[in-house]
Amino acid sequence: MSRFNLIDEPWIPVRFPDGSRAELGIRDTLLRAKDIAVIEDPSPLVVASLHRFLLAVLYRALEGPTDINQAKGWFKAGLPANEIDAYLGQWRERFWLFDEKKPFFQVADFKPKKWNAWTVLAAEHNANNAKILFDHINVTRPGDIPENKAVRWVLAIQTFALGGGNSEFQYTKGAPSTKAAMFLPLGRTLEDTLLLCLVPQNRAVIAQDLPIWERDPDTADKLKSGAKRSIAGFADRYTWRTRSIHLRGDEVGNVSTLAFASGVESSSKDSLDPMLAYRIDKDKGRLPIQFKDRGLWRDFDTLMPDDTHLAPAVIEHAAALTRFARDRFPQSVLALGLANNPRIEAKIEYWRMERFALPQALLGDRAIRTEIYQLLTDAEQTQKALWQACRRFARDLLSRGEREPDAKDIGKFVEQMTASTSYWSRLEAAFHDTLRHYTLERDADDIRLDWLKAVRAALHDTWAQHAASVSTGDAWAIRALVRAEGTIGKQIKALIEEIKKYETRRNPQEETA
Amino acid sequence: MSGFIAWLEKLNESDGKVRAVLRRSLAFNPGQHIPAFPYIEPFLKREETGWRRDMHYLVAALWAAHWREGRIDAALTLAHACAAHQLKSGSASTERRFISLLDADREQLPHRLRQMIALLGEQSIDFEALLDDLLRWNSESKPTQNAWARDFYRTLNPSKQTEPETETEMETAE
Repeated sequence: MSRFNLIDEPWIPVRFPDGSRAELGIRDTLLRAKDIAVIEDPSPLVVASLHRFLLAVLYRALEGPTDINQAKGWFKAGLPANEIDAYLGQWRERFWLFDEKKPFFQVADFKPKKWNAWTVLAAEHNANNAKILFDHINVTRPGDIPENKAVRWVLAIQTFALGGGNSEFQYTKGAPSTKAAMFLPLGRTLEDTLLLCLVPQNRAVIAQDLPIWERDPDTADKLKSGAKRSIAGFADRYTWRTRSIHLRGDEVGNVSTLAFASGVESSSKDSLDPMLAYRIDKDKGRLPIQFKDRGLWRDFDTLMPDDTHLAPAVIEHAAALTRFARDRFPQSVLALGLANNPRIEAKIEYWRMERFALPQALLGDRAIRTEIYQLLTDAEQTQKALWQACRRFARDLLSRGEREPDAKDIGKFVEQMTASTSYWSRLEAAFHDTLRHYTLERDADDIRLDWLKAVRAALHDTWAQHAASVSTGDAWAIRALVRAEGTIGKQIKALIEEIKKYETRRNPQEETA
Repeated sequence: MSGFIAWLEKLNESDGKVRAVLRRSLAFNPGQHIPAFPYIEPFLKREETGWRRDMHYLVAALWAAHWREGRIDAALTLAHACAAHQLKSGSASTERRFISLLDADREQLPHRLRQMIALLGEQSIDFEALLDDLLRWNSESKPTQNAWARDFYRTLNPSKQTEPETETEMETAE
């Protein structure tokens, strides 16, 4: 018997403008989207994959947008409820979480040799190689989870599964966009968010762009032999079968174990994901921006659209839609995703959700990307001076004289110094401030002036803090500190000179005003 | 606290024994050589105790030992004088001595300072500033030691700049 239809049963966690929360089915979520503030889940991976899933539904239900004018039409009039309703009615049979023939996003005839605990679905409960603090779930006796959780995690694992290791079928590959940071411009309501992210696709592409529920069900045999195909479009990409899953529910629907193996491999290496930002690597070509040790904000310029079209298509689209409806310009952009260990493919280092203010100046004709790149370059260059000073300090402290210490020792010493971390975290706060000030009215020179001051203050304060921690040490430490200070002084002087240039440029204007 | 050196200079003009007695006091712990009392205590007006009193005795003794007839060059702070000496002599040992002086605790300070002053025989030294600095020697944040180190190394390398590091190394620092 079929159970738990995702169209009607509550499983999508949403927050309303008044702060109250609820879980809704697909139908309610889409039809009431303009009354919903956001989709909200503790897991950033779930949040990202829920948006992608809903977008896939919309692409199919609306059979568009095929161009910007169609997108603008819906942005003006709201989501067409009738089409959505009709589409969901048409495909209702494919949204049963438990079904003998066609369970949602699963492989019905997959009977594994070994049943896995449900914890393989959830990054935050994965005991194999990414156990986290305060997670006390025992994978040998994990208990069970209700359907709503199960389906959320099924979507999350399909979007964010990492490759590595052999499964019952094949070697497991990662999902098409697993390791990238996904960006999501946040509209005033969920409806706005979805429409802002609904990037137009070519009419011919849309016709072929089938999501998982419109495709013929994959069979275990086919998947075992190593299924591989190219990505047809955004709906296909957003519902990609990265893993073959078959949930085993008990009589009330709770899931304790499941079949879990490799899924379909993507042969499209170059197709664009609208939620990703890219950069050009001189050897490898276009690569997505990822979460790394360094803060994502230090690559913020890559989010800003320009002629290179490397910025997330969703942001470019959002700017295009709101250029003439400024009050609906997304106030912020979410960055969601995970970072894995570069040495161990399948080991998750962390998953994260960051929120940035989206510079409103995007709506104008200014080269925001270049402007922000300039700001970040200021910060990087100043950090180089700080880093040089740290190295010099380390070298002098380790050698206590003429002998040149081993470069590795110096490196290790610098690594444990808190100066760089402290510098970046000071600047990060200033950067978020700067983004909020990036309005259409504000002058670019003015912003840079403030930023340079912030950079100077961050360098000064960071070094002062370091100096204070050293100044009570022995004479060798004081000596090392003083000798390292030259680089800092030089950089501060350079910054002050740059600041003066902007100030003298500004002052004559003030006098005439 | 100011005018102490002026006070000593004035005494020196009227009393030929002053420098001899104070110089002799270097052989004792500061403030322990009784014949020096008549020269220092009136200035202290018996208000000063402990470290402050000791440092007045120490600086007075150092001043006396360092005194030369007819010095005309401008007085340098101790750190500047050390740096000048190193630049002139070209020997690295001055820096070592300077470092060990910076590291001196209460007990070691008189001895190391005396050695250093002896080394700087040629330089004219600002003893008034020295006294001020020594009074803050034991402060938790070591303001004197830090200031001395700054003066010393800045005088030594006025324009020396850090050599640029290579790009690959920079990457690892992030």
